[in-house]
Amino acid sequence: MTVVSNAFIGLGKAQARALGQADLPLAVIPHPFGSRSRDEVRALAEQCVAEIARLAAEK
Amino acid sequence: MQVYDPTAPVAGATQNLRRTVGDLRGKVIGFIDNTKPNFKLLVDDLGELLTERYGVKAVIKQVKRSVATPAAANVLDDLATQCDLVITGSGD
Amino acid sequence: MSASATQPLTRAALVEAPDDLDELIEFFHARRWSDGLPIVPPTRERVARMLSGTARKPEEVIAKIAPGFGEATVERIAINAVMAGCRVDYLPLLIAATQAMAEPQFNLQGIQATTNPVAVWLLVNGPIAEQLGVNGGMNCLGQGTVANATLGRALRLILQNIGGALPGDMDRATHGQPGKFSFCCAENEAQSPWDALHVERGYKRNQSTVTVIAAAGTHNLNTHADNADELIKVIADTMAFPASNDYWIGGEPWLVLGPQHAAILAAGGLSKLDVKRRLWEESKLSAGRMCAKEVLRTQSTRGAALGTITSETMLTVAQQAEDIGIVVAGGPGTHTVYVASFGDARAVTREVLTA
Repeated sequence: MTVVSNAFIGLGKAQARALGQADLPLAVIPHPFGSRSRDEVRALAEQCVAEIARLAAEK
Repeated sequence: MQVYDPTAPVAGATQNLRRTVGDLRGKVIGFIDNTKPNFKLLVDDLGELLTERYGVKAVIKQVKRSVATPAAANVLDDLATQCDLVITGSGD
Repeated sequence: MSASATQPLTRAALVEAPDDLDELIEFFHARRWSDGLPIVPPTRERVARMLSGTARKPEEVIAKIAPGFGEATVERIAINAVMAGCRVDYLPLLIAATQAMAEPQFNLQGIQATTNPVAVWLLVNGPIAEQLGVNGGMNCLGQGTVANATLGRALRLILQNIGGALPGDMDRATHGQPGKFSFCCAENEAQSPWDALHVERGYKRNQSTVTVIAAAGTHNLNTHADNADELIKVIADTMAFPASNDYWIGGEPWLVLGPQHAAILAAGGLSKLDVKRRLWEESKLSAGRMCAKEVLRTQSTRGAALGTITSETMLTVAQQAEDIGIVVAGGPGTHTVYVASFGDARAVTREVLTA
């Protein structure tokens, strides 16, 4: 699974396809991510963890 | 007129490698920190939340030397043998 | 529009395209098969003629090109060479360059998909430079020379069409740079006071090579420094800027010394390695000039080698002095070009085999 900032979804999907893993699950967080404050990162982690759990369970 | 297509078919037929991990309780989750700003913090938070809320058994954190280089082969092998799910990062 | 069922996957497909040249060019643009400039139509005849430039079989796979990992067959390289306007005798150089780019230490995956403005710079050494007319003299990084213009362009088309790195899709460059259209020159070996790059890298003077380099841009250093100490000082000062990838990664920056500057350094008694060592020492950058997040990144990339990085740490531009690349090129004038690097890549040299 890859956590991807949303400006990079296209790359993530295309790259996964090119590597023969088109079904690689992507957990998307908002872009830009690197400039967020510590509290903002925590808030995004709260959302992202639910997404990770959902994708892990997805058939 | 007839001309050649200059592109190459995208390599690698889909291998359908994805497996359903299911409930995360008791599972081992690996992370590869890509060294982009804030990603380490996100990995720390996700590791904590996965343990507290989802009953994950263990979290293994690895770090790449730098963002645009692949993780070392032995790191990948270790994660592959130890983890039920490995999470990487892409973006900014 | 598609390959016939009997055609093996390694052979390129012939497609029906408009006969009218203007319409044909639009046909290529619509499919994103060009770099934005008109192309030379890769007809069966032109591609066959281009393939006569090598003894290799058309279906031979030279490399797989990241990030799409499409197979760069000799035939596909030839097709893109035709489109770029290359002459027949350029093909072996493009084959060698394609091999070089696929070497792991070049990190083509990173180069192709990054937000950084990375161009692949082709640097040509040995007799083939003169044979093909690759310019290493005046305006060698500018316009006006067929070999420089079309070799670099062909390489870009290979990266885009075979590697699948389309701008805005897998090529994530924030701005890109003009060098992504073409970035190719020869070394001005005749006017270098030192061994040429390929000799430095273990080849014989009469061997022909191409070196691929991950170039983040070109920066003009115009200085009338008239002695080696002064010249080293101003070049080193210019190399040291805090938003450079080379400092936080430990990169591989390059200098294209103008012949006049090279002569001043040699007259000062400096070998090429001396120049590298002096520049490495004198271009150190205080980590405190970087932003806090860059200091953290530097800690993760260089911490193992340098220990704890604080705002007082003096960072070198490369992990070792030898990693600074130096070539002599250009014409008369008080100029040198600094080529900051992508950082996460190492140049690769391959011999050009014309047989």
